[in-house]
Amino acid sequence: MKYISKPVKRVDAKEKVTGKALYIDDIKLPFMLYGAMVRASHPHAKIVSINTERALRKKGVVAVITAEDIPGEKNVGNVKKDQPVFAYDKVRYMGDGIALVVAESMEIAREAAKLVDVKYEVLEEVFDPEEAMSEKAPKIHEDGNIIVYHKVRRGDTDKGFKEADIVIERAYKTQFVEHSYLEPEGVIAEITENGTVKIMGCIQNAFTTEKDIARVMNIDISKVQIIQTIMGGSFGGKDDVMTVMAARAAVAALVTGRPVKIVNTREESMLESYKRHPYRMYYRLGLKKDGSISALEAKIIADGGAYASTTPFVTWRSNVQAAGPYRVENVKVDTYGVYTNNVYTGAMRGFGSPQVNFAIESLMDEAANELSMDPLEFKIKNGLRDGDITATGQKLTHKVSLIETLKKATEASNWKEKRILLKKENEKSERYLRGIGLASSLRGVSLGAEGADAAGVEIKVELDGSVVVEMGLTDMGQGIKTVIAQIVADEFGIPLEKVFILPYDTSRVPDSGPTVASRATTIGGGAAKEATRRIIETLKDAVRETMGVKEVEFKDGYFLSPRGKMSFKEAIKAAFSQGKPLNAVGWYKAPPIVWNEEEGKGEPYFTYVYATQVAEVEVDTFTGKVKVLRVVAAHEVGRAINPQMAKGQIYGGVAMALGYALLEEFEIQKGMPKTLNFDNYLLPTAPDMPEVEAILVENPDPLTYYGAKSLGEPTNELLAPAIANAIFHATGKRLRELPMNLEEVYLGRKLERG
Amino acid sequence: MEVYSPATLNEALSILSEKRDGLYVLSGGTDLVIKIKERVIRPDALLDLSRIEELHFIRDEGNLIKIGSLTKIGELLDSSLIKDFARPLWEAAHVFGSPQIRNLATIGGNVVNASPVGDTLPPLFVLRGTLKLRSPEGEREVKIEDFPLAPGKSIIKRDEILTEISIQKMKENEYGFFKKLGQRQAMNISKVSVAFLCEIENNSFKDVRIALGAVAPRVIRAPRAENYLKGKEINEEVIKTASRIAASEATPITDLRSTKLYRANMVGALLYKGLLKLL
Repeated sequence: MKYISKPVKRVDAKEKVTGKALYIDDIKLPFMLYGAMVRASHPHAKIVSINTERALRKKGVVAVITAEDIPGEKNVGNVKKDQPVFAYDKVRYMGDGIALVVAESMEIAREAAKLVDVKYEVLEEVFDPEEAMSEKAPKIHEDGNIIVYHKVRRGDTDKGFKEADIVIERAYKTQFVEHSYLEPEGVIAEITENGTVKIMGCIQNAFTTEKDIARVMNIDISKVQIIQTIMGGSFGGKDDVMTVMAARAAVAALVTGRPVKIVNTREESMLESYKRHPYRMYYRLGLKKDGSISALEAKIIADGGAYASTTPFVTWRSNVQAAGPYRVENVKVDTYGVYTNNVYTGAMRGFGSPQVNFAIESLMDEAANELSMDPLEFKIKNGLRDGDITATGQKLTHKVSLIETLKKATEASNWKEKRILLKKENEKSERYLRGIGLASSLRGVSLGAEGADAAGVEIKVELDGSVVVEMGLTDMGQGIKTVIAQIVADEFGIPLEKVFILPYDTSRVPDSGPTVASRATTIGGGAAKEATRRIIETLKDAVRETMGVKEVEFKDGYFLSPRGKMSFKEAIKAAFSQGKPLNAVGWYKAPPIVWNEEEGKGEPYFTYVYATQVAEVEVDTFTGKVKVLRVVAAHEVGRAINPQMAKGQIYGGVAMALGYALLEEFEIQKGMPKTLNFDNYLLPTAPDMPEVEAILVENPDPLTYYGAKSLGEPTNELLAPAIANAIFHATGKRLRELPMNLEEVYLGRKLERG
Repeated sequence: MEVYSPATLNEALSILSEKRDGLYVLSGGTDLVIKIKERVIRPDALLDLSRIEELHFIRDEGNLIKIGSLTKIGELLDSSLIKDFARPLWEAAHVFGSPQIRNLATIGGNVVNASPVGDTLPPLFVLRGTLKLRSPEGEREVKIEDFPLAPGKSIIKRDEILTEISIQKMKENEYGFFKKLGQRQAMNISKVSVAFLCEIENNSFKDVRIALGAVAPRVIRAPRAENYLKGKEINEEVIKTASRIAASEATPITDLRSTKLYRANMVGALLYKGLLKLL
């Protein structure tokens, strides 16, 4: 293999670094109009009337679009169809859109949007997810405020707690977090001459959007074409919010007969787009004196905000991973997703794991402390190993790499020496205290029980030996285009430059599901390999026919037969002259899973990845400032198709998780968002980044092509608890709420604001 | 929107004197442009000073340093004169925004903004800064301490332009610093800032000046801590007490960036941190 497992340069690097890559904001169509949203003035209110007259009178305004203009269904949604394209009966959060002002310029549209007069009847609001669960709480949607409930049941926790020598109960809390993709949301919609709806935009999951557009526009799915423009980041964030935006633009294009562009400002993006869920997590853990775990119970409540979005799936992952990578025979987990009048929440890199990992990995550190054990020793004692059974009752048949990641990460960070040495040094220091902490995880690969888990890749070979690839998988910066190009080039034995990957266009490739759950390399890579296999079979037939032989072997770009060899290019020419098809669709379906939602048991994922991150910190006890000095991240990935990009994922995931741990919080007070730009929504800057050592642990999975598994999300789910544990090691202070900002570290709690 | 971009101070003053409501003065633009974008202000016209070369200088004049109001923060950082003789101001430039912001933002803009979190103000307070304000009628000199009134409000008149900031050079036996505390390492808006300057004689404090940022509606001095320190021997106990007193002089509020209790405590922590070097 010339390219697989090599640090190949990204196939799309050049156009991006030279500024030639076109993002949606760079694209302008003839006769194009611009749309600006009129948004909610209250977090929960009945819409009494919408008066558009004054806006329509403004010069340059072409139309004001509301729900009345929608030809089909008024609601969209990933799981539940509960989110209105334009709010019509009521508004449920401050980011809700009521009307779209369409004008000759963006400036006119924005000015005119202020002239639309919406009259409201304010309704009782609810912002606290636990209050929202009560019977007395105001109902945000007709069927009540519980979006979803999941459970896990294993063994008998009552018995487990009875057998316990120590029982600890702890509560943990996390915050709203914004994805902070560099490029805000944007789309252009047009109705083509043959009546199809054509949409361009930075849409992460174009197949999801496509289906909702067909419903909203009341047309066949075959008449919807979504072309994904180059993504300026996404991190799970350009899903539902893009469907809503695309639907608004499509309706506006239909009404005006002209292309309509909508691009959010940063403030609109922060206001409207869904966030990572804040969680409240209540854990109870039973421990035996020998250091084993006898029982674990957890009650988890996720604030879903105004709409369901992917909350049912996010909380499902939290639910099945809530017990972490440990052997626990008695488990009871109850997980709720709840509507409130806060900003809605959905998919974000990690997808329900950063929250529960903060809890379970802090809890395990607390447990080790209760038992006077070193956390590493505690984890090695209780961590899952080959053939073990998980909290959901799944027997692990792949190589379980948890202990290997623990050993590699702690060796590279000098864990054993530092645990003692830093403590000793701290005794001499009044002000700066250092500590080292670790966190580990298991993570289910790909979608699991969320739905059918398959993807297709189409390959066409040309007469000159070059190759065109089409796929329904999104490159949002993670590098799937490069990964697929590496696979295709290696399977065909051709140079990487001969492989060209077309933009993602829903009208041309089979529905491959969403590009989420760190699944693209595993599932898409399998499909690409299958497509090459089919083409190679056709070409072998062509060689057989040409040479008059039965035995043909394909090796290193040549077809070998007893009567001589043919190159890849010659075989293509032969196949063409014989009238054989020069294209193939490869299809890959993930191995089956079993999940019993009623009983809270099963095999929710076909395989898992394992990881350990170690953080070394310095706490300034005078100010509460936490400086992360070094991070070692050991991630089991199955096989790294591109080790350089894999390490890039780790560096990026660690940077993002550093923000989650210490800085970032999308603040919202009584439904009113307070942090609408990056002056007060604090992302880490380059000087905040520690040295990061990335370690790839490769144990190829027997069930996937090339043995590749997942990496994008696991990198983002461990640093917060590792830092919390390091702070505890340094100071003896246990922080159970994110972010661990200056006030939190210094005062040990957040003061009520206001 | 009209934009005037004069090349001389006199031209600028005459444009300003003829002005109507709705004309705003643009220097580096790192605050003004954001206010325009957020529609906090809606200018009809801008007076862009950035071409006026005569307001762009750092001069060594005996025991004074004179700084043109259009001097960029990045230029303060690059100046050995500032680094050697106006240490608190240099340290403020060092932690000001990011390289991109330091390349645009001017010291004059930061002063006229009169923000309680403006990073150059506390250093100018302790370095005995004076400001030259020019109008078509003439020129007046005011002490920096008399300049800011409240967030965004100062004594500058509608027809005046800040032309020059002069500070006293630090002497051999003077020690000074600027410390600010924010959540991250760059692009940091202060939760609290402290500037300090003192003369040291026989291992004792003499003539102490302390200025605090972000703990009151304007930058303030900490007179009780200053008085306490004067004449005291430099030792840890004294430093600790002074830090406690300074913390009690702050009257911070709770806002999006921090809480009252934390801010007050941090005044003491920052002062202590800076003074520890003297031990």
